[in-house]
Amino acid sequence: MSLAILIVLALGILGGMFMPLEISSFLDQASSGMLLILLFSVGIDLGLNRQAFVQIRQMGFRILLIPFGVILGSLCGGAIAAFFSQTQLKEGFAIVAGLGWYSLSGILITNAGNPVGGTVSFLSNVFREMITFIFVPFIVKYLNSYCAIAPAGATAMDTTLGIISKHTDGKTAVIAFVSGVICTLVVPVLVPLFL
Amino acid sequence: MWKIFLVLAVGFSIGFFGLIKDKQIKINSRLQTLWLLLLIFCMGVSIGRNGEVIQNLPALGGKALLFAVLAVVGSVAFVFILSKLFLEKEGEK
Repeated sequence: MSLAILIVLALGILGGMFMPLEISSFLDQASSGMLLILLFSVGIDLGLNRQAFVQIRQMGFRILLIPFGVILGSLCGGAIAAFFSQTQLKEGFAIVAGLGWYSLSGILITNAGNPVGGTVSFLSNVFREMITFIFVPFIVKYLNSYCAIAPAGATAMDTTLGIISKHTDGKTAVIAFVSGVICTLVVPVLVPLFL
Repeated sequence: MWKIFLVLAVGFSIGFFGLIKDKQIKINSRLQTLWLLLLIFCMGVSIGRNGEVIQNLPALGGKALLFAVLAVVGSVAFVFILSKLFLEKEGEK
């Protein structure tokens, strides 16, 4: 999926550079509508997974420690990255607050009038998903299975859930899904906080 | 912003209250990949038609990678500490 994403992204960028301005302007505006259609579709999937809500109740509040660690850790990483790249701290927080949900974080920051920040956030969160695909097996081997959920962030509920469950166990996969759902619910609130 | 919550809520309700058949669920998850790729294409177009962004892309890519790596390292470190403190002991009992 990550490869398909990079190819389509590259095609879109090339298309945007060379296609007539009227068409690129239309597609540019269409992206907000496209996001809403995608979120409607994702919403249906979220609602279908009633089991996740039963699991939250069974594990108690401790299940929240994972998304809590993911969010705090991402923000700390973002602060350090902002320092090294001489970016404003607020923008740094907004970039990492996407927690791997590249389509939403990029658009939110771009729509807030910062296309450069939006692009960095989009690319950064695409990279985050790719890093997750590559490093989950090593994290399970050298740290523990809870840590394998951490790089995935919001993607733990869909695209990276497969690789997490493949390298850990059923229990961890459920925790990963729940953590992904919580991160996904947090992103639309967290990113605008820093805009 | 409110539109995002609205479509999520409507979709969620449809899934949660079982207003959708198994066949439609499969179609929905396939369409989801299509919407995602279309959205990414449109985002690519937005990036490509913006001269300022294109000029800065080599620099932006490196910056994006820096943020991605440090966000991942931070997340793993925090979850590692929290799991050592609160989760692993319970598992061993």
